[in-house]
Amino acid sequence: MVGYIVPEIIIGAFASLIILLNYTVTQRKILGYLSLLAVALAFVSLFKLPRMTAWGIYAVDDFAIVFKAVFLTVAFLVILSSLKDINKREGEYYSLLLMSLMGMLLLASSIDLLMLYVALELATIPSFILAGFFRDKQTSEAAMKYFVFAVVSSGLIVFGMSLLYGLTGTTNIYEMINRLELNTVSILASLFLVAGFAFKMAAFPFHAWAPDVYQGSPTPISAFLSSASKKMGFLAVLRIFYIALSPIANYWALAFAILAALTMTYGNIVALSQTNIKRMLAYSSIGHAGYIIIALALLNTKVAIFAIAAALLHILVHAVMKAGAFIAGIVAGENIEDYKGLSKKAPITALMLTILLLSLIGVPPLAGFLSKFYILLSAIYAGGSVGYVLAVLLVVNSAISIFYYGRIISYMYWAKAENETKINEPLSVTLALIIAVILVIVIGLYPSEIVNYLQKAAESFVKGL
Amino acid sequence: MSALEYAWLIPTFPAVAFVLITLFGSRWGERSGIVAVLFTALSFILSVFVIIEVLSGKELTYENGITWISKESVGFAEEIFKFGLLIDKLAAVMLFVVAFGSLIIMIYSLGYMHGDETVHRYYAEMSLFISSMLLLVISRNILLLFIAWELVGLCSYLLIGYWYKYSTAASAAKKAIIVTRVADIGFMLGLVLLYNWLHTLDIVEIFERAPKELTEEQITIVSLLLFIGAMGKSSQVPLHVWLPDAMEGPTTVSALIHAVTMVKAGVYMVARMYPLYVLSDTAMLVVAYIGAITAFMAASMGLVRIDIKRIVAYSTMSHLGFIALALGSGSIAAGMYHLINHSMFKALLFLATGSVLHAVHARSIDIRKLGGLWKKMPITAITALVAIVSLSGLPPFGGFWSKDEILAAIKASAMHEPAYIYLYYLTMVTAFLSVAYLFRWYFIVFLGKPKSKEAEHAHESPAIMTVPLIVLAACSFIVPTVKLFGYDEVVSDWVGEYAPYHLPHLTEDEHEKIAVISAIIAVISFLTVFAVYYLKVVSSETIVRTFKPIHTLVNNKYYFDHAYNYFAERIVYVFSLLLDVLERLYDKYIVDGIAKVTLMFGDVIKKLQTGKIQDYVTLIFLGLSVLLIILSI
Repeated sequence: MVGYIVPEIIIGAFASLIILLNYTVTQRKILGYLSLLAVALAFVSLFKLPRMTAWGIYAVDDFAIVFKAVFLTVAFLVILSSLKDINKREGEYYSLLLMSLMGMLLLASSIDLLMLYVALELATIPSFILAGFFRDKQTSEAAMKYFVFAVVSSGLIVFGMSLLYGLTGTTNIYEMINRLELNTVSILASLFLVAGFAFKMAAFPFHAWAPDVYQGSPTPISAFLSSASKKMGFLAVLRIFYIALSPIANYWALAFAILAALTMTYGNIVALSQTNIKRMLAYSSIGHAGYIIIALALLNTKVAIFAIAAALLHILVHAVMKAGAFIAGIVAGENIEDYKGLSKKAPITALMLTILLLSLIGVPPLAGFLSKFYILLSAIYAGGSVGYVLAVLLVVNSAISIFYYGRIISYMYWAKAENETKINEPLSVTLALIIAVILVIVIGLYPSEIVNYLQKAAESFVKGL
Repeated sequence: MSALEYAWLIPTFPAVAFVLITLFGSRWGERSGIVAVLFTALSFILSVFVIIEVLSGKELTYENGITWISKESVGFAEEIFKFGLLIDKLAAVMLFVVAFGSLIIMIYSLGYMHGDETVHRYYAEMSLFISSMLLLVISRNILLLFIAWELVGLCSYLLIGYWYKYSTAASAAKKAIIVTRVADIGFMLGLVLLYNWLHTLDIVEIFERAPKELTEEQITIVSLLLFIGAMGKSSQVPLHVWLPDAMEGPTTVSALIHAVTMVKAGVYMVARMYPLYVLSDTAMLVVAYIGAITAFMAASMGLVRIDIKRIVAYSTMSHLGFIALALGSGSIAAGMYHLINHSMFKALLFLATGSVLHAVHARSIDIRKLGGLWKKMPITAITALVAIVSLSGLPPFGGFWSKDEILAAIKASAMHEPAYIYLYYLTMVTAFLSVAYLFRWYFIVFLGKPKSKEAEHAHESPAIMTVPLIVLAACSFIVPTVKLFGYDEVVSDWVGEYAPYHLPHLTEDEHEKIAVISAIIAVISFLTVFAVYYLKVVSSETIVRTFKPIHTLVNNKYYFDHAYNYFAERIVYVFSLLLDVLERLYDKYIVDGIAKVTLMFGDVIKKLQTGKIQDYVTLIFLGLSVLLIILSI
């Protein structure tokens, strides 16, 4: 029985199929549609997955399902918006995207350090090539930076993991919990892991690659990196830290608290002075990572489960919002000047982007408000100096962020463009935007079911299957 | 299939009409009126089914609300936002009245607003107005009620200022929204306190828990704060000043505001929260006193006005006072009975007034320019007479019976709280005045000779306007008979489920005595007016001269407007000038300062981003080391 890895099998099979078809099919559009089909099939199969653990390294729990759903949703939006953009070497592009996606899906279920590391690399390595996909100077530089960074952080992660193995003699995170003791080495190991995964999460000061890479990569790939790839960091941290490293929780939670405060403040403030939209979104993404890290800093308190649910909600919502915002850039352009008068030039894109930006600001009743609200709530319930300081910072940063998001909205609707010729709005891109907007609105209006499920998911992974 | 399950559609229909007309109205033009009427009619039909079902004993509180953030999902938080609907007998009765009145007024509008240029805006706003009022009636959550309440306020602002080209209309709209907003502060405070003490805003839950968990003082405070909101909406003294000015809107708007929506929202809210009010004798007494004073002042001011619509407006205010008085005297049945009666007659009277104004092509007019319309507009004249007779409380029409009920309730309350007895005498005086000012209005407008060119050329309005008048006049005969079908129990029994409550009762003898006295007063008053304005035994000028000081006081509207203006100009304005200076300084140095510093900070630390990968990797290890150092300390 291999029922529990059906989504991965579907994605893997289609990735191979597409590479093969790349050299035989003349109707190259079909490759894009095939990958869409693959993602859709994998998504459907999520509903039928049995809950179980296999070989002590692979677990299908609600927690994993949530992340798989996030990755698949983002991948769907990214592929949909790529249909127009990518018109050479499609086979390569889509199969690499699916490979990376497969790595993410595997990562979501990994409960063993080795498995987790391999899945992480499987997800990361194809994205180097995707980041440099256009092969011009700018994207190549971006890909190079991304590669070097990823390798350094991989090194940190492996180092941390090997220390943990040395201390406990196991790589299974649920077994590690009983064997880990508080000592200098275990703290050191946890810090290496923090640093390594902070790279993935793009947390300050491990963030520096993100703006350069997002700016340089093809726009759909920027969306993929910021919405899916980045979330792997949170996934791995939740799994490893909250379970395996819980005996030394007080130490790393403080580290995360510091990271959260720095990251959200840094991201939001630097975003203020950006003139390139992709860079601005990259910094805003860093800011939002800071919000999620708040939840990580609360993992040693009594509200941990609630904080995890809040983090999951924000991960889900942010993935959708940020993917949508990047995708809008495919139509609108990269420079902030391009957004002047966009409501005339591309009315649908402008409207959809406005809703997404409002959600990013956190305007009720959109989803972005709710997820931030839940994080704020968990920080306040956690209380103590850490909880309150982070809550205040979250609110202050949200206020700062209104400026740079609002500026785009005001440019789109109130600034005059130099030429007001209509921009073509490709159907596939518009469709991706509409899906994102619908998700943002629906989650905003009916959050209870989702949050209840997320809380169940948080509980499921704490207990282990 | 139960109509109650679909009750949420009742406010939804006009809301849909609002959206449709907003989107396509400019294309539809006057045809948007038909859309508005159709959707209002749907609401009315559904409300008929609802009231039949509720009265047939299907006591149903509709609890399936929409939950936005559920208790479970917030984990250990206390708060839930739950928006539910509550349709018990009180709500069903009110729902029916509102839907019926709105429908008639909307149909009438088709004729009255004919030829107006921006008529689609009128229909859009009217639809939203009706929708919000219907929502207000069936809200189960007091927060939802408040939202609907504010929407009602917003729509009244938009519609009073519908002819915003006229500066008087624009400022009347502003006055309405400002005065009611001041009152809403009271409402909001009440809401906050309720939530603070009971941790719920669900009306049913409040009823169930308030008697057990709140002290009498707390209940008094909350009820009175909520009543401040009602005072603004239902134009009770001293927050009544907006209502007479609100006549600047189209007459149909006045009809809607006065008969079924805006001003009824306030007293309906008091009736809705009645189980809370009956727990506090102080609150009841205050409500009764404010109501009685309002009724008296309004009636006296109505007697000296000369503007055709303002007199009718003061009449509304006076009757709202009666309703509040009835509620304050412990008789929700009398209050609601008077409310329903008043809805029918006032809608009728306003629409008749509208018919007159339509005939003389005016927004409003000095009554002394009219006269002799009896022959030229017979239908209008007769239907207006029906409204007048009933409103003024002449036997044997509906108004007489509801006034009688109110007097009986006061008398009964006076038996255990002596303070009520003064209200009894004051109300007798008011009853005298109400007959007087209404018949004065009628005699001058419809009888005698035409006193201007417009009045001479007046002619009857088209059928689209007169048919609603006839329908309403017919209803004015039917409505009072509801008393014969156990009406009292319908609107009052539910209160007893939550709080110890008995309708105040008098012996038959006492009751008869009151009826006879009030009938005699009404007849004397009628005869006096008849003598002055028809037979002209004494000229009205002589009376004015005789009572000069009183006339000046009343004619200046008891100086309420003067006092408010003085307060606004001398105190609020000076204070605001002072704040303005502070605000500018604050804005320049603190607000802009923070923004500038933040932006500068952003520009500076942006330089960390050198673009060189070597720097970035160095940064990683720097960060790692710093974390290590912090944690090792």
